[in-house]
Amino acid sequence: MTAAAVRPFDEMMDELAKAGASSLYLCYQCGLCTSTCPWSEVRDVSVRKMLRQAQLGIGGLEGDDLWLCTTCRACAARCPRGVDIPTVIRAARSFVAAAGAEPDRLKTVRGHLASAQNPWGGKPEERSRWAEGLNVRPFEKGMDVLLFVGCTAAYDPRIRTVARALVRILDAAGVTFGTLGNDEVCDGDPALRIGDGDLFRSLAERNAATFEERGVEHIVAISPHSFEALKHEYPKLGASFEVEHYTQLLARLLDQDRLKLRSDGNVPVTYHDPCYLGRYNGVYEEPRKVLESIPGVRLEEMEPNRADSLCCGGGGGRIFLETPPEERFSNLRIAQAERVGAQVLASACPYCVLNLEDSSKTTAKSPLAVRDVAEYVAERLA
Amino acid sequence: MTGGTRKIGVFICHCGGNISDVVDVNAVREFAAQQDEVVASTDFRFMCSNQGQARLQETIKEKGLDGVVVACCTPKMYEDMFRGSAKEAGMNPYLLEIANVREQCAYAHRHEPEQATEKAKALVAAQVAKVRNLRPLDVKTAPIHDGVAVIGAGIAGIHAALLLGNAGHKVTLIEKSPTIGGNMARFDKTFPTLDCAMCTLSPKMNDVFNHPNVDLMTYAEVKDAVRAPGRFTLTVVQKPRYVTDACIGCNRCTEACPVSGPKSPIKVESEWNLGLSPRKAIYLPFSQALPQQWTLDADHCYYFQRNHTCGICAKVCPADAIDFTQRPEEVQVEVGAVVVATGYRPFDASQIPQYGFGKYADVYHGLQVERLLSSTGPTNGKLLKKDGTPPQSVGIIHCVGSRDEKYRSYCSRVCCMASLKYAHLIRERTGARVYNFYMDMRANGKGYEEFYQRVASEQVGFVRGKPTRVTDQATAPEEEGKLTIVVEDTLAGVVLRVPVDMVVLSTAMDPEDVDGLLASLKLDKSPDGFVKEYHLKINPTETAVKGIFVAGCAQSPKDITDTIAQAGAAAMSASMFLGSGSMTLNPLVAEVNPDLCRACTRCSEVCEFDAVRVDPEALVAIVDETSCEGCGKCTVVCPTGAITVRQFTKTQIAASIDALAPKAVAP
Ligand SMILES: Cc1cc2nc3c(=O)[nH]c(=O)nc-3n(C[C@H](O)[C@H](O)[C@H](O)COP(=O)(O)OP(=O)(O)OC[C@H]3O[C@@H](n4cnc5c(N)ncnc54)[C@H](O)[C@@H]3O)c2cc1C
Ligand code: SF4
Ligand code: SF4
Ligand code: SF4
Ligand code: SF4
Repeated sequence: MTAAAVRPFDEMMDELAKAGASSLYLCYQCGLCTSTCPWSEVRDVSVRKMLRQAQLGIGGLEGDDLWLCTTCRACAARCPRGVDIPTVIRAARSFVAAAGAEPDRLKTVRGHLASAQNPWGGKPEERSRWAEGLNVRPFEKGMDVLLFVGCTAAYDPRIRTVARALVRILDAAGVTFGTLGNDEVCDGDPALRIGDGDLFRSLAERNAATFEERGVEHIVAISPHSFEALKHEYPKLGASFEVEHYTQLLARLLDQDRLKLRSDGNVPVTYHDPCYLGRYNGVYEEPRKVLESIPGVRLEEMEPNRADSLCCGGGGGRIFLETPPEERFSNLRIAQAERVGAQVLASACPYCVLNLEDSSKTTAKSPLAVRDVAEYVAERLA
Repeated sequence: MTGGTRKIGVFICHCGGNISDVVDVNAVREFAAQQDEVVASTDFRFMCSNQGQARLQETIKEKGLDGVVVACCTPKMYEDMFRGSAKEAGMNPYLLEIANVREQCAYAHRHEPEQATEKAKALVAAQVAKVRNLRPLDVKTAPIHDGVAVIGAGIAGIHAALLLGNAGHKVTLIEKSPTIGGNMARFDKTFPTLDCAMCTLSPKMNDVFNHPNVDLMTYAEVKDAVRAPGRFTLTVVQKPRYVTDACIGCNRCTEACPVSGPKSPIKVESEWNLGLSPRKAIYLPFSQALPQQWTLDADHCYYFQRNHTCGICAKVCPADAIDFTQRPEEVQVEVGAVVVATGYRPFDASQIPQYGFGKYADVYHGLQVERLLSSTGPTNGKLLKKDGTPPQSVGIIHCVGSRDEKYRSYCSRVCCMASLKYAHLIRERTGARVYNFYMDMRANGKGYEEFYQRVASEQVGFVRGKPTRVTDQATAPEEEGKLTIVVEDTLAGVVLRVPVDMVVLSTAMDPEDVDGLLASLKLDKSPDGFVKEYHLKINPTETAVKGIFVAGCAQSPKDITDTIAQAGAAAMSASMFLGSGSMTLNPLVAEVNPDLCRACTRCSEVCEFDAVRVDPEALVAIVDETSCEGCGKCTVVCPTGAITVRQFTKTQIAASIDALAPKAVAP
């Protein structure tokens, strides 16, 4: 092969710079991101090499590898040069998607988001069906909090139980809350991570306008992905409110002695840190505290945990894409949970629960229950 | 021109066009000539040239000037020089002021020449008004004390102390640990020559120890420093050794001491061996330590910790050298100059938990490996794992903490070569496979690239990549019982898992913890935490404090070659400073009118430089003229106007302001 002359792809370099990816040029090619990336455990892919090609504007980003990234931030948390790798990847995805070169499945997801305001394709008028039979009221001024449900808890039959569990807990603790019902739309996280900034903005602006209209000041999110978008992306569009993840609220309610829980015998439980709760927002202790307040629960830590935690594989749009069984990070996580002898694997994110439960069913050597923290707490309400 | 009492000259500089291309210098000259008490007004192409200064001096003499305004560039450039010329011509130099018409007029208003000219006139008028109100100042000089203190007795401090002693100065060398030698004394060999470290260091240690002009204080620390003109008074705490200089070095006490014995509840690790071996409560750090005087560590001694039980050392000592009654002693050391040579310490590798330091037994940091390779170390120079067997493979990770914005952004400069040194010594002594994990190989000293070549030829593996982790979790039979290093080989573009028996972390160099010392000497740190030099490029051995110099790794990470070079330069600078005999004091600092001072202490409360204090007996504020920066903060809070900064009194400042804004401005 003869060497090709370098012809920098100026247009791409300009776009990347505009999309806030200029920390890319600080990269000194140490490869720490590659070996830290969970994909390196399951297949050959070099994050460093993608950055190299982007740095010199010599292409190489148009292949499938660009769509692998789960935006878990394991790499950025360690990068010695402070390169914001997930942002670089997001910017590159925008560029490629604008040319219509993203995977077909993601085109469908964008279509759902645009037409039905959720990535799953559920009907907008069925958004609040998850709450059937429960007395969940529309949010009005004077209530303690707005519960932001999110698309997965609203439409996915497995995750609906998480939202229902949370309703029972909040009722038990005497927290007054409401939802936006069918007026809630997707928080926009999927659009943002797969590189459609415009779509994100239109969804976010719609929610922000509803918050404003209904006088929302304090939001509690079920999904860490909603939490991150509401907390760090919405303010960039001018929205202002307080937002927390439900595990933070539960930890506070426990502190205030507003929740009474029954013992669950003597169970070894392990907790999986969702990337968007942990690495993105530094919430490591509250979910653990909630679990440990269930009498009988013995918390065992998997290796790795907290800031080093292994991604479930669901972020960054991956939840919508097919991953062959031998490449699923959640399979590795099940093995790690088994290594510490856990009988319950708890987490606090819809994607994590979906992926881990799937892997537990297919790969666990002995039964390993996967539960969302909210489900576990609701089950132990005294 | 009206006849006044002062004779002021105004000199307007063209700055070769920099000023005169924008400012109409003729107009400014004519304007100046009209000011009260101005007897000469002239302009010149370059006031800073020899002819310009000659013109200044001639005019001073001819017209008998007792005030000068030079309208030129910033006072930072040539104020001192013009004052010097004025002095030579017989005028008091502090009657000269600069009007900055270059930066503040010509540069700032390049495109508005008319306004620039008007502003230049106003600035000249303001300075003329100020000069009218100036009074001549005496320049005080203070004799410089002829002694010098060197703080830290590593290779930098030892070398500087020797040179200063040889030059005839009286040196006090202060070392906080029980022995001199510093980190270099821990090494077996030094790169790139692989000389025996102690063979080069030991003679210097002995020389300094025996030098008639060097007074050595070991196990001693500077607690406080007071600055006065030409003199520093250091309060040095001599920590109790509980062993007198009668000690003959027989080691019987150490042999008898029960501490760290197999059944002893009190255990302590050797600082010298960086935790790799136990030590007794009474000890000598290593066999060539100097002085050869044992030290008793009261914090880990049964006599002190368990109610005077034990005391065995005193019983076995043939020289009667043990004295349990010693107490810390404070000694005042007066000197004229100080050399700071406090060196470095290793970055704490447990801050990067992924590398397993403190978690896996066979993960070591660089200085520990120096001890493992040293014939005076815990394994007598044999490289052994914790289980006592030699490793068959070793991984050396470069840049641990260095060049990493999450820890230390700087390059520690010696780790590449130190890592090559380990690679060579380990291969030579054990035949083990060695892998170096590096990002960039920095071999920029004399003989370094050649050393890199030599080590590479010894079949050392080089993997370009920063490892993500060291783990004991095996995923393949070859990894069982090993530590596996996970890394992207960035040259091959594949992720490798490299199983090894031992991991060496080439940790960053951190500055020694000297915050207290720097605070009492009023020295600053650079953003990286090392002592701040006067100027990074052209004055790396002086500091912002006159009379204080810095050498070695106290200033920045460096190898022994550079340490020696800088220590020599610091000694030379200190010697010249001491040799000048006296220093002139800047008179433009605060002074107190004792008649007005009410001893309210408000000035001392606001002064950021601790330069003013109220004498409790005389009940009057006293300014330390070497510490005062002339910032004027105190003058604002003083209720009676007792404290003023010379040439910045209220009348002097008011005169300038009136000249700048002659008409009252409507509110
Ligand atoms: C692992 C490693 C290997 C190395 N190998 C080599 C090599 O092979 N070749 C080479 O050229 N360079 C090598 N270096 C660099 C070398 O160690 C330094 O250049 C040299 O030791 C610097 O000397 P120093 O006197 O400035 O500091 P130090 O050696 O650190 O000495 C400072 C002294 O000051 C004392 N001190 C500290 N604070 C105070 C205080 N407040 N009061 C009184 N005393 C104080 C300390 O106790 C110490 O004795 C290596 C460095 C490392 C980290
Ligand atoms: S970890 Fe950072 S510096 Fe290293 S290759 Fe990745 S992006 Fe570049
Ligand atoms: S964010 Fe996670 S998945 Fe994406 S490149 Fe970084 S480590 Fe890999
Ligand atoms: S203190 Fe006494 S016993 Fe100990 S080494 Fe010195 S002389 Fe020997
Ligand atoms: S002028 Fe400034 S430095 Fe001098 S005594 Fe006053 S406050 Fe301190």
